Amino acid sequence: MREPFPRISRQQFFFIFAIANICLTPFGFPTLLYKELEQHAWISPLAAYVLTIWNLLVAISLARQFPDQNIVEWSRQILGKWIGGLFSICVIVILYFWGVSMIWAFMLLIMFTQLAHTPIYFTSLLLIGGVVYLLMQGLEGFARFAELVFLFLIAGFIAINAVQFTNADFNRLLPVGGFPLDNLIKPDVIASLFVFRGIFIVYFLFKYLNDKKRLLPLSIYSLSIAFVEILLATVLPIAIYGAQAASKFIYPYQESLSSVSIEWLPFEKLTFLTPMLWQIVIVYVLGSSLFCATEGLSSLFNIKNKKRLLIIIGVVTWLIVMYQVSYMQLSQMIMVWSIAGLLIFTLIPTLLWAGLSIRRLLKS
Amino acid sequence: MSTLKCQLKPAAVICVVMMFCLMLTGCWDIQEIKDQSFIIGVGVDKVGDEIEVSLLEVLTSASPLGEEEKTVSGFANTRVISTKGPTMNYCIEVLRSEMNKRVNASKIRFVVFSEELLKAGIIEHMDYLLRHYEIDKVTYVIATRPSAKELLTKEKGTLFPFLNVEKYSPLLHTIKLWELIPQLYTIQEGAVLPLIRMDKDRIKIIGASLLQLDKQQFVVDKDKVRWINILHEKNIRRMRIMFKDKLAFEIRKVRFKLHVEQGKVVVKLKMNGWIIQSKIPNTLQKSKQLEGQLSEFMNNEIEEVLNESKNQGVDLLSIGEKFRQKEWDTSDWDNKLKELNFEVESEIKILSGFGKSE
Repeated sequence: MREPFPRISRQQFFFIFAIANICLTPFGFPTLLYKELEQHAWISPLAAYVLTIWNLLVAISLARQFPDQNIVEWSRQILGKWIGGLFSICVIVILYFWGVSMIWAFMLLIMFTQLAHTPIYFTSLLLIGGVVYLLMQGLEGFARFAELVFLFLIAGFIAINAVQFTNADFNRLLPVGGFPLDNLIKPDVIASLFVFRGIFIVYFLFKYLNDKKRLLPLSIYSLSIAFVEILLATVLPIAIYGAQAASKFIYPYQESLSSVSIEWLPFEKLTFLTPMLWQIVIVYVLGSSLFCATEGLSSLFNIKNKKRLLIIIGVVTWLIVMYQVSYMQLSQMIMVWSIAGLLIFTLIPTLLWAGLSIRRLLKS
Repeated sequence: MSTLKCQLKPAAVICVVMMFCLMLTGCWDIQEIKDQSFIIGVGVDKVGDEIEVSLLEVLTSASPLGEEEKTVSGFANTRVISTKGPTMNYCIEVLRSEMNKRVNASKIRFVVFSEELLKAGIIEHMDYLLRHYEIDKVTYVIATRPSAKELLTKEKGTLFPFLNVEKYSPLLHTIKLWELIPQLYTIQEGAVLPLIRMDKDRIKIIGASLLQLDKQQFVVDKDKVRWINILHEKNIRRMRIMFKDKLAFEIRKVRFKLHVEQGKVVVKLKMNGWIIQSKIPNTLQKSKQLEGQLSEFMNNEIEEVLNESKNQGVDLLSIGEKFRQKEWDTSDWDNKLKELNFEVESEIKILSGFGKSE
């Protein structure tokens, strides 16, 4: 990465944060929830949103205590070399797997859409190569890209959601009561609480922000954009097909979008937009994931040449995604990864934050 | 400014690289039109224990055909190819092998099921259609008699335009794949498919095929389809109602409300419109009286359709879904539906004699 110290603006942080939290979640996420929660599936993103606000509060509070360090650096300071190192490795692995899993999800998705005949390995090579090149230009380059395409993405999301309202019957979400409490402790439902994992990039981006004032409200606004998109992705397929039929689809959000035809448009269907949107979204996700992995590893092992490290990570990522996983394998991997993520990014930081707060209180 | 340019450069490069990914389809694994078979209609018939799948293919100039197979219509040169087999996939695989082309399903506009097959159930064949990534969810689904193959052979490019301007036909109840999907998986929503046939080169509406889950329970005559359309608020614009051959009333606007109670369902209809034709002298002066007679006539007709469908186990108004939404018991819905009492309360307002007369 380019030295001296790169800086990103609050606005750029807002853009990266919103799209990284949307991620590819609208596609894979609802299917698992429909099976367990049926028409109550919307409860899950709502619960995740509330939990994530708490996580955000903890993350920003911790990051403020170590403004010039990332999580790998300060965790070793608090937890000691070995435990801190182990925790750091977990953090790096989880954030790195985020990028890998999303490429796998993207590859599975495009096989069902307009890019069905495009060689996926070549696409992934271009994608990873492009993101690595972008990051090699420095964090500012990545942030500038995020700024450049944000409005296009938001316009795209509005378009694909708004048209679905014509076929939606929101009565299908009833009854609101009668929530299946037993199903709340199912692994898929617990794992869904990790849906806004994009917020954890704050642990690595914080020190690069040129203005750290009022970061919590800014992050919550940004998170809310992601929340609305994911909530709609959960609710619209139920409103169009009903929970029972929607649970039969692998990608219900794509199917609900395909129920709309706009006869006065030359292209009629808006489904063509989704591979484009998600291809750009994955640049945000992969960029954030690879950036965090590179930053984390270089801090952990004191590696000076970050560019070389980034290229190695990029090549390894490409080799990993060359292995074609099935939908079920990926779902199970994401479930285990999400539960581990909750432990590493919710439980441990909360305990650290509580410990530091108590220590500060005792000192004062 | 120069810093901004430096910052924009990598972003612009990445945008270009990303666009390449989208365009790769055009230069990688290219599939020429002549190597593809464009299907616009699929027909499925029941033949003994097997099914017969017919594909309506649009002929490109490169299609190797004998003259006898060629049909010319105003829209496209088409041909029907069919084969028998145990499953949809098997049949389409056989047809693909015979054509030695890639079967392009992205242009499919309608799927036709024969009445016989509908009686046996269509879910296993629908499974193929729902899984296929190329098949649009806005594809029309229709029922026919005697066979889907015959309909496809005789339609000569007229069927899709006919279905696509549904709003003018009060006797046609069109349904698209995405509308049918929820109804195939629950007994609490009944599905209605248009039932049509070809009479020489003309499309004739027989009526509507009413399904419980994926099976046809009974057929409603075409004259009664208009009542179903009113209940589903479909094709009601300019719908005309004939009253005892004395009066023709054209609907301008309908308001539909459903009150669901345990054991009772009240359908409230409010509509206004014009008199199109009348054999009754001084029609407008008698409009109050006629409004009452028309309402009563309509109540009886709609109640008859609703009672017939509930007796056959078809939940025409998706009352079961309303029960589910209210968290009421929907177990044994087949029998619960039969115990429901339907009441129709329609309120008709005659606006004028269509402006020119009276």
